[in-house]
Amino acid sequence: MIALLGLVAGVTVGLLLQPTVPVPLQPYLPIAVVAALDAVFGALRAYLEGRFDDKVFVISFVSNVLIAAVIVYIGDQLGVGGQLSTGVVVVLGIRIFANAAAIRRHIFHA
Amino acid sequence: MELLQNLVEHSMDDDYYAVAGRQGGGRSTTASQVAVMTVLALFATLVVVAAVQTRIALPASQNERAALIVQVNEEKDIVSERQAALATLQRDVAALQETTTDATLSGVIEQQQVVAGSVPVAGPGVRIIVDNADDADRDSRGRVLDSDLQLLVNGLWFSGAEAVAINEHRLTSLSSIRSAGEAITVNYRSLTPPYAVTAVGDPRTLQARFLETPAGLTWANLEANFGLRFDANVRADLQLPAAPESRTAIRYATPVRDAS
Repeated sequence: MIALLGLVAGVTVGLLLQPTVPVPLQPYLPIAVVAALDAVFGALRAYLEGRFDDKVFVISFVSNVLIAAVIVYIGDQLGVGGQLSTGVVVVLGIRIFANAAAIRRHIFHA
Repeated sequence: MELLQNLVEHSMDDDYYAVAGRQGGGRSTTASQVAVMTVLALFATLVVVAAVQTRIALPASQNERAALIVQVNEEKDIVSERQAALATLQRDVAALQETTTDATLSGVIEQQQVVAGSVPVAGPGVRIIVDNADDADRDSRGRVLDSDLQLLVNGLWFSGAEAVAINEHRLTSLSSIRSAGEAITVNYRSLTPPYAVTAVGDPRTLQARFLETPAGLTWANLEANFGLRFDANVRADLQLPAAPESRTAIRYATPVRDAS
């Protein structure tokens, strides 16, 4: 319930304000989205397994996004931004799929 | 493989297990619920912003591409227009040259064209075939070098040749004879032996005078000592092609009109 409320509020804010992302921050946006997706899928799985914890979710979400951004930033400074971004997306993508599989098992028992 | 397995097994943050084990289930307070809501709102905003950004950026890059394509096409049109104009002007120049009534002027032009090598010429002269020695593969001294050909051509000019070509490559004042790797190039074209040097000149004196020049003596020496082939024949009717345009085109030099 709370989760739905938060999501709806976020979508509304995003659509209404349509904030423009400053150009220097734009490379980090896709990576931040993938990292956030990972945290949300992990949380959903934990919720279905009955292990969900507010604090862990908040901390994992914030730290995931920040770490992903920092990795891309460091990569950009060292000239390997593209490769590091790919690495981050691959690792997070695998995690997302694994979590999605677990969630599927919980919902459909299959 | 261990890495992948590790990734899949620990795909959910381990902290959930740690907290669950420690407290027997996460506690939920109002403050932490508000935090979760905020984070989820943040997440939704992030996704929406990313999507909106992408939609905004897409037309911009497409517009840029379209503009570039238009620009390229415009430039291409300009190039083809100018090429057409160039062709027209060249035709005009040729037509004007033909209609020139001044007989002496057209005579001068014809003569200069022969000297410059921009027109094919025919006439009596000497045809000299030179080639590597039979054992050139074993003894590199038996090879015809670019300097040998230079010497030969120089000797022919000196002996009164009016036009010279090597293997159907007309020599002009801009031509070079040089070796590039294994081959000798003339007018930037690689030649293969045997080399046929044709020179238009006085058929009675050209060959005899050449043999007396230092170049002729050097070649006689090469023939005698290293087995290089050197066959000179007087011909009554030689055909020499024009030099390629790149070897007659002048880009930087301009004549000084008031010198005389």
